[in-house]
Amino acid sequence: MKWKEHGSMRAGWLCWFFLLLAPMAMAEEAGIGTIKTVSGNVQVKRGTQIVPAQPGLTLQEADLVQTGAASAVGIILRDKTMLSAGAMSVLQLDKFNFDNKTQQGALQATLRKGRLGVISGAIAKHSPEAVQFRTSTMTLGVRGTEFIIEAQDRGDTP
Amino acid sequence: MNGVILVVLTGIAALVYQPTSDRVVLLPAPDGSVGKVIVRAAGEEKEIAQAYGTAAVKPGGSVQSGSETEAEVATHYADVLKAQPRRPASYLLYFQNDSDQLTAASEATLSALKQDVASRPVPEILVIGHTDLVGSSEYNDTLSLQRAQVIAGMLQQLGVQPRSLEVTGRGMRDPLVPTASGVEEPRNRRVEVSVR
Repeated sequence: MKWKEHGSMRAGWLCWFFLLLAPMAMAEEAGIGTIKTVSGNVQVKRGTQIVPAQPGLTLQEADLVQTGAASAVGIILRDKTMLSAGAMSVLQLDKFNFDNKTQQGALQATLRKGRLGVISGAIAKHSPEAVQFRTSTMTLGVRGTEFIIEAQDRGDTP
Repeated sequence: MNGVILVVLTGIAALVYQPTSDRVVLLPAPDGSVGKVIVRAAGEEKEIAQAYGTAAVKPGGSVQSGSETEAEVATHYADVLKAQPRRPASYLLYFQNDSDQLTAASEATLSALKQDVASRPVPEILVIGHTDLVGSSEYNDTLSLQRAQVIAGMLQQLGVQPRSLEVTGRGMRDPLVPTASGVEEPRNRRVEVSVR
């Protein structure tokens, strides 16, 4: 607990601290997660906008992630939930919020078609009832785990 | 004749696999542990809790349980598994008693951390400071944030270039080793660096 600070040291670190402000500001508008891996043709539909997906793209609530033939995408959400979708998949990130301090939040996502791998994160660990994955015919409750969902193409997906 | 039957059976097996319904397959974690998934459909609710256990929604909304082998899952879902990002990693750094210097072991951890960050495609870092349970919670909130800032500064000085870096202090809320209030515990005077 006792932790001495030297004036000169502090000034030095303070300098670094100011340098840190820029990336910190970036982190604040970081959205709900980040695209980490992309292969082939992947795009994010945000409202009426279509954004080509690339590693580093920040995701927002309500984004629709779509993969083409022979394509795949890997995502890490802010609570460390890991998502990976295979070819010809449509994933809708319906709802996400997460408080880093309390580790509480909510996550709801719908796989409209295709295949989705899930490795659950902090929300599933601390408030599992707040995590829900869906397809058009089923709803999944998650108790701290890893799984793959497969949803049939019913021809009603965009 | 037997060959023909075998071919027919193999064909049927392939057709049987072709999933015509939404389904889920449960996977074990890298440490072998298996969680649970509760599958709800129109007509039924079922829980799967076994590694490579499956549940499929049948027409009418009933849920059929089954299982696959590890090899089948690896084949059927190869692209999904390959697209998984590298798992997040967490590093703990400790301070020497009554000082702002890292312990020798933590210097080594810092260098491993630097390599990890450099090897990730889009590294994001969260630096979380912690204290032991000596002192007021306000004081420890400040101290924990200060510790996190020191580590964040060190990372910058080492040339670590994450895409984002978030710094936070959790004070005495989250001790690694639970103790009574007022107990000095070196293992709680730490900074956790989470990389993903």
